[in-house]
Amino acid sequence: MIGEVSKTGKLEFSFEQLVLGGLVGGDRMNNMGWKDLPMELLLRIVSLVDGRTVIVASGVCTGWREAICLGLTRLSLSWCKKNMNNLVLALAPKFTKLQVLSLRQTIPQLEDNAVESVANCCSELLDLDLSKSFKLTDRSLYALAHGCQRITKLNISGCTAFSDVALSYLSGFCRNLRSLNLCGCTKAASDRALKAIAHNCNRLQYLNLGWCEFVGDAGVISLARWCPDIRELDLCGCSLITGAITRLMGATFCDLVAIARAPLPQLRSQLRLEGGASEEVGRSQRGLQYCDDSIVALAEGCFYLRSLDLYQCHNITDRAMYSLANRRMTSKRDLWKPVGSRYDEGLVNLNLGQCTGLTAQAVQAVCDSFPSLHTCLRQSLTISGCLNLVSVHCTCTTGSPIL
Amino acid sequence: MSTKKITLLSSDNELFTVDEEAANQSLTIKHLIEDTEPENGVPLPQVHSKILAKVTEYLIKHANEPDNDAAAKEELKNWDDKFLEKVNHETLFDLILAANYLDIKGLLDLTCQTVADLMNGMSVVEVRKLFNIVNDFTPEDEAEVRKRRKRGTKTIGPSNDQANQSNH
Repeated sequence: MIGEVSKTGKLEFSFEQLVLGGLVGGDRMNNMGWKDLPMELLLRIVSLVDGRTVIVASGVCTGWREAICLGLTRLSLSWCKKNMNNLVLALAPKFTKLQVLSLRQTIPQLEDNAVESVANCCSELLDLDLSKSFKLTDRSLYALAHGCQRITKLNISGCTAFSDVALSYLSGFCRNLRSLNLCGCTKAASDRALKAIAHNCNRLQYLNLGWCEFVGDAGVISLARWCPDIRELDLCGCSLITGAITRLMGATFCDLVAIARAPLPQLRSQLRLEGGASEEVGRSQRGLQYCDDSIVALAEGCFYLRSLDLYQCHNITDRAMYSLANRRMTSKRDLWKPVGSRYDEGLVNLNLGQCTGLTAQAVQAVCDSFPSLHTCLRQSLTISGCLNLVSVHCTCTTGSPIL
Repeated sequence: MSTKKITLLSSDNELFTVDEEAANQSLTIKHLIEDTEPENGVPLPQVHSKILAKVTEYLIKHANEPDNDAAAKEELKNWDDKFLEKVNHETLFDLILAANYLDIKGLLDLTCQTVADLMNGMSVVEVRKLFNIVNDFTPEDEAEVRKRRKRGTKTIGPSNDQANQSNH
């Protein structure tokens, strides 16, 4: 009975609201309050609170719960320290409109059943962060392949248990991927998986293969051949990739914007020589000659390269630096390229830390060619550990300040 | 250069006069002026004078937003904080609705952020208390929520939360 009364009350109220458009302030209907906050505004507020408070808000009253379940598109449960798995199991069936979901963990909690629940319920998901989910197995990837085919951004960095078979399978269904973070997925990121990804996800723009130590030349060749849109590629610690492949990349990824920690064989010799395997030494010595060639190839091929990290590439010589410096001159000839774009600046970041083989003269030439490289407070040219290079200065410090 | 004055008419027929530049921050008012060029003030039948007074105060203060002046920006930010400091939650609610209706992005952002800051870190019971919201979940809903809580989400809200709910 009481229920009925309140229902009619609600009806009359919505009638008044319809007719009068809802007065704001003063003599408005006295039962209008926070619980009646329009959905659009509630969601606007909810988008500003932290992940935990979103869940709290959804439990305040039925109106808020319905609005949030119906409209919530972004959710982060990264604050969970203990019970993320149960929380995901409980929430995924309710928040079916989620587009962005962050399940990044510091303490691994997530299990396959939770990811399966997400895959079954949230078919509109575009961006999923599962980083550091050590407990997940291939079941999760299979579920995502079937449930979340619209996904464009996937972060499975640190999910060490995934296999390359499952990753290849996923790439066959989630073909809209633009961004894929496989940092530390040593088992999943094999050449075979990269081939499948390259074939299926042609629109890939960002790929992180950091510390995927089994990625070799074959995988990167496939990427170069099939994914022309790649802008950022992180090959930090991929010790199997040889310098020759960098040359190929220089020719193919014209749009490459950043190569973080270029895959130079020197890094490998640094790491592996300690192990003392003679075969490894032989290989790495052969690798040495690639080093400068790689940079030259990058300089010639990647006109839009903005960030280059050559940390600990001890064997780079001045030849590589001069080729970078000259690139600036030659690329100016490309008058028909779109002007005024953000690529005009050329290199804006260069890390030469521990590159002890370079002379100040050569690095100064690079610095002069790219006015965005700074050794002053806005340090974007890193020369840590290179005593030879302390005399290199950007224009800010040698007079004529550009500030 | 004389600035054109705009008169705004609240739901209880009170008049407010502001510079056109200030009024134009509200896209709704801007469009109303463009469309109708009203002679006796822009009628805003959805906004009460009590709220419109606050809104015009905001519009006048924000009429000339500083572009690069860091000090002026800082001052404006402090003013914003003070502006909502003395406001009770009922008025805050009305201000959000008014900012939304009048389409004043700055004010909507400010008020929504204020509410979000208030809510951050609160428990369900605290939010209900803060905004005077009655718990209208059915016992079945509650049981389901409690079950979920037992299963995992004990971290949400203080421990007396469950006890409070069962009292309803």
